Amino acid sequence: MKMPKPHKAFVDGLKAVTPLALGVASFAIAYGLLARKAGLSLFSLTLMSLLVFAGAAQFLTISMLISGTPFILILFTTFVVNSRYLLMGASLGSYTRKWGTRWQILLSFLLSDESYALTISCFTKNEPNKYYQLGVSLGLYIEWAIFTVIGGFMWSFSGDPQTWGLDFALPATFIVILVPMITTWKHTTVCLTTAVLSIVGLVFLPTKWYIPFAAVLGTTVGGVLEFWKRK
Amino acid sequence: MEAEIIGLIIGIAVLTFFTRFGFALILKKTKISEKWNKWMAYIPIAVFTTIIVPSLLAPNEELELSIQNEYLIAGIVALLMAYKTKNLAGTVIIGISIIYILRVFLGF
Repeated sequence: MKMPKPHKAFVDGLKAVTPLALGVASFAIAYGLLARKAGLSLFSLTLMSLLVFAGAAQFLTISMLISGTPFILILFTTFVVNSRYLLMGASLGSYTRKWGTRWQILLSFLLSDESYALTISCFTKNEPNKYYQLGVSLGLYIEWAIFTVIGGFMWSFSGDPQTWGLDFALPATFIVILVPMITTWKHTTVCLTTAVLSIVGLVFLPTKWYIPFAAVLGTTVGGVLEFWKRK
Repeated sequence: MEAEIIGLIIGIAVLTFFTRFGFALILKKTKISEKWNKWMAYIPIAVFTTIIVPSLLAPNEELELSIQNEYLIAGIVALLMAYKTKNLAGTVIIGISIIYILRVFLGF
């Protein structure tokens, strides 16, 4: 395949975001609303979107602030929830490592579930391109920031986001990301085993430990299936 | 309060950046074997399953395997829609609408 020009790859990345735009916007608005409910100022909630840029962790932080959770436990829980980025970073690392530290820092800072999903599915089919990943990541970053602020403004006249069902935007988006990934019996096995593991972890492990537990073991099941088949 | 919240946000930001950058940093120095790559190909499926399943089966941190669980109902519909149509916007809109209808009109 011919290597696309930086500008074109960047625009391709931006375009790739459009199918996800609605889900991201809904969830960003839900976060903005919930943050105001928790008593955060418009400044703080925007700052969080710009610095943290992790929907699930931000949503979780706000829920924990509402229930009066100690800060240290909030920090710890967000770290555990975000531990999935360690896996994503490892998975993208084989592509990004040749692009130099500056690019790695930039693309790591902008890494999200959605940008990971789009980037990895593109890189497994096409020549990996840093400008493509930048386009995807930056598109999502800007969209997240803007709709977060809109959510914050909407608080004064809309009320609790829970009633509107906006909190379902995140699982719905992830479902549509996940389902097309499952194409072989091994994928199905990994998905089902991970599902069971996540519930076992949820029931038996403290706080959010089920996330690293199920994600690592589930991936390992896939690795074992690969290895076992080739013997 | 504001200053404390900003401190917390910076703390979370630093931790989050570390999780995103950690492996990129390690892998820069190490060669990745074929086997490791095959293993890592399962990361997306495992990670997304880990986020989705508990958010549907235990939306409030406790297992709720009942038809009173609106996330489970909307989730099953979303799964079927995603499988049949692969339409993201449609699935999100239908999912949110189901939750809205169940909560507002049926008192879930």
